[in-house]
Amino acid sequence: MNTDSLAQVQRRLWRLIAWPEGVRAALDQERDGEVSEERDGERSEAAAPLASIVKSDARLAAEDRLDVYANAYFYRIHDVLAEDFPSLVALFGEDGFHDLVTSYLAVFPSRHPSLRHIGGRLAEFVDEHPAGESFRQRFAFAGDLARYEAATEDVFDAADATPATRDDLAAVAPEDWAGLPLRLVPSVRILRLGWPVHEVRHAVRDGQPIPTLGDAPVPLALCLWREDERVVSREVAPDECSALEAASRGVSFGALCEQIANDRGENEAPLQAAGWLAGWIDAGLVLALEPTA
Amino acid sequence: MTARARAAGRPEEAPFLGVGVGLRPVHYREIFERADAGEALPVDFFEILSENFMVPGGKPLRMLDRACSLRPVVLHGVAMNIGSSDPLDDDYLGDLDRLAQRTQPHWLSDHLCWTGVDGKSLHDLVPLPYSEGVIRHVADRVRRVQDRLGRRIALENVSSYMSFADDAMPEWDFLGEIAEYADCGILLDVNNVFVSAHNHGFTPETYIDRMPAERVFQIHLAGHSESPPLLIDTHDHPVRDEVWQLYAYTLERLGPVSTSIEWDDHIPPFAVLLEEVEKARKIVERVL
Repeated sequence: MNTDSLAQVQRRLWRLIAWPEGVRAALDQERDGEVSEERDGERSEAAAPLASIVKSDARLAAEDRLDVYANAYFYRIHDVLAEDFPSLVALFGEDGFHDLVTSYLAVFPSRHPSLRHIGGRLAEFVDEHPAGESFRQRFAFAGDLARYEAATEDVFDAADATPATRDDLAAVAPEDWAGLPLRLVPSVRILRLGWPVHEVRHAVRDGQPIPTLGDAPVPLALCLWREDERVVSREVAPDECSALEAASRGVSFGALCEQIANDRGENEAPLQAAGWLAGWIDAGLVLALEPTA
Repeated sequence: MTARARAAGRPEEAPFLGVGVGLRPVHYREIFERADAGEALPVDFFEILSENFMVPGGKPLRMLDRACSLRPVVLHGVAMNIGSSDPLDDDYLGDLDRLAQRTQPHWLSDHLCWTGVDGKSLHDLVPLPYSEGVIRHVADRVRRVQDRLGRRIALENVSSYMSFADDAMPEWDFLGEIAEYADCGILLDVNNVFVSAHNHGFTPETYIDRMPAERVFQIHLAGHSESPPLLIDTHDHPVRDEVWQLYAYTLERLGPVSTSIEWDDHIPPFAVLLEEVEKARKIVERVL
């Protein structure tokens, strides 16, 4: 067996193991000729009886042996997603979440060696993909909830960094303020959402009934970050959200003031910027205050 | 030849560390409280699941650093995908290399299997066809990984529930030949030998007899489940009596080999894991 024939075998086994309805359904599809082949060489391999590739014996047929891997594939990923997205489990229920995972994996199979990233496209699936329509129809805020829970995972193991302090701020010479580049610590995530889905997550965590959020979006923004080892979040007003987003892009304090001045005028802007900056520093959101050379 | 004499043929970079455990987050508190209180921690080394710590920062890495300060560590991965027809994943190897720099493990291991193809992962340890062509394919990849990491790695035999119609050799020859061609180590999972022997109808002692002692870096022990007619490597039970017996047989043949207990589902209190460590230790003392 050379690398090409190994690839053919592995592609076929991958497809049979990952098929949403199980190995036998995947084989039925092959027999019905409904498999869309991407490469000419695959058709002959795919048409070969499974028993010519996987050994059957008196105890167990090849299909049943492969089914062990198919079940393990689904449930291993299901369990990781259930751990990462507990509010989605509570929202859809066990059966509904099972269906969500099945549909999601059929569209977005794992493309990362670590299961840590398995839910990275769940929000996109629920919000945008045709196969996610029934899920967003059932709960319009489900995509936002997936986005919030995924961000929580990202914040949890984001890179460590030493935040700036008020003393650092006080040490900045007045002439250096305008050029002061702002940077946020790596754990900060800013989410613009249509529903207050953090209330859902908190209710699930506390064993409370899931709040009713309605179908119509009411835009809001959340800032998530890590305090010690805990993930915390707070709602931020639209203008502070824009300022935080600018800071996350590494703008200077002067540029931040200019942005704020568009809304609040030149006189109020520096004071507002300094006020927000002080609050961000107290929360540990700011990475460093380094005057430009 | 006595076990002690056989030990003279042990691989140089894999000294006998004793009996260790797979480090799991559910045990952090108990392990670190014991350490803080100055209590005994009767574990000789920790086996670290590599992928769990390939993250940018936060609590996982803090716990990892703490564990590394307490005991020697070895790294054990599940996602190298060494048997795949895909190109080697250089990003993954880079992450693994950085983790090794951070933890300074005695050695690194992964599984003799494939876990995905066309960039899509099954996150499972799927067996390979046992053929000369696959031996050359895998051995070449192992050599490139070892060059990339600057050290030999160990490959673990997996539990398997299927085999290939045109297998040209038994699993032990497949593993042994790859280790020889690639000049790599072997992580011999005694439970996996037992499980696969049952599932495919071979004698587990034959497998053990064919293992090259000079290449065995480490031994794994774990519990398995019954799902008739198969045994499944679930890591959710204590080590079965038959596997303890096979472990004793293995040590009699190979001499002292660093041994770790794996427990990944329905994980018991740390004290229960320590009972398994103690059982292994008693067998080591009895046999050696």
